[in-house]
Amino acid sequence: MPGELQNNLKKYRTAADLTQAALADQFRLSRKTINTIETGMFVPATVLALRLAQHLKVSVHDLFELRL
Amino acid sequence: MLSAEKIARVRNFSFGATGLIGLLYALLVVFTKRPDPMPWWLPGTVGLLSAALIFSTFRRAGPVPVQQATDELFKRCGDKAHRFGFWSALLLYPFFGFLVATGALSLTLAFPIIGTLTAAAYLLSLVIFSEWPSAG
Repeated sequence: MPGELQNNLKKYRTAADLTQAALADQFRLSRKTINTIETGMFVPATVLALRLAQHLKVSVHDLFELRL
Repeated sequence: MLSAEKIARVRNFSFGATGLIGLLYALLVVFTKRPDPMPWWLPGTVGLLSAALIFSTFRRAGPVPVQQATDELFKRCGDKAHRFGFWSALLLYPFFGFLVATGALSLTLAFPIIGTLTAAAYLLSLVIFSEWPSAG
C-alpha cells in the first residue's frame, strides 16, 4: 500500500539545539545531506536513520513515519 | 582548513570542466565536420589535471572533510549518475549507428562524438545530481 514518508528530523534537531552543520559534523555527513533529509528529498539508509534517532534520543518512528 | 563544502566544490568544478570539454569536443565535431576540431589530447589532459586537482585537494583536507564530502547522499548521487551514464552511452551507439547507416554522418566523425559524449554524460550528470539532489 503506498504511503507518504514524513520526517520530523528538523523538529527534533532544533529541540536538541543543533544546527544542520553541527548535526552533520557529528555524523561526518555534509550539511546538504541533513538538509535534503529534512526536506524529504533524500531518504537515508536504515543504519543512518537508526543512528540519527539514537543520537537525538528518540525512536526512529518518531523521526520517520509513513502516512497512509 | 579545507571544509567538506570547499572540496566538494573543487570536485564538482573539476568534473564539470572535464565533462564540458567532452561535450564541447562533440559539438565542435558536429559543427566543423572534423574529427579533430581541437587538439585530440586536450579532453584527456583536462581529465588528468582534474584528477590530480581532486586528489591533491582531498589529500590536503584530511579524512573528516573527505568522509563528509563522500557521504551517503554523494554515493546515492553517484549511483544515479552511473545509471544515467551507462544508459546514455549504450543509446549513443544505435543512435549514431543509424546516422552512419543512413549516410547522415561519417564513421570518422561518429567515433569521437560517441567517445566524448560517453564521458560527458556521466561527469555532467554527477555534477548536476550532487549539486541539485532534487534533479534526479
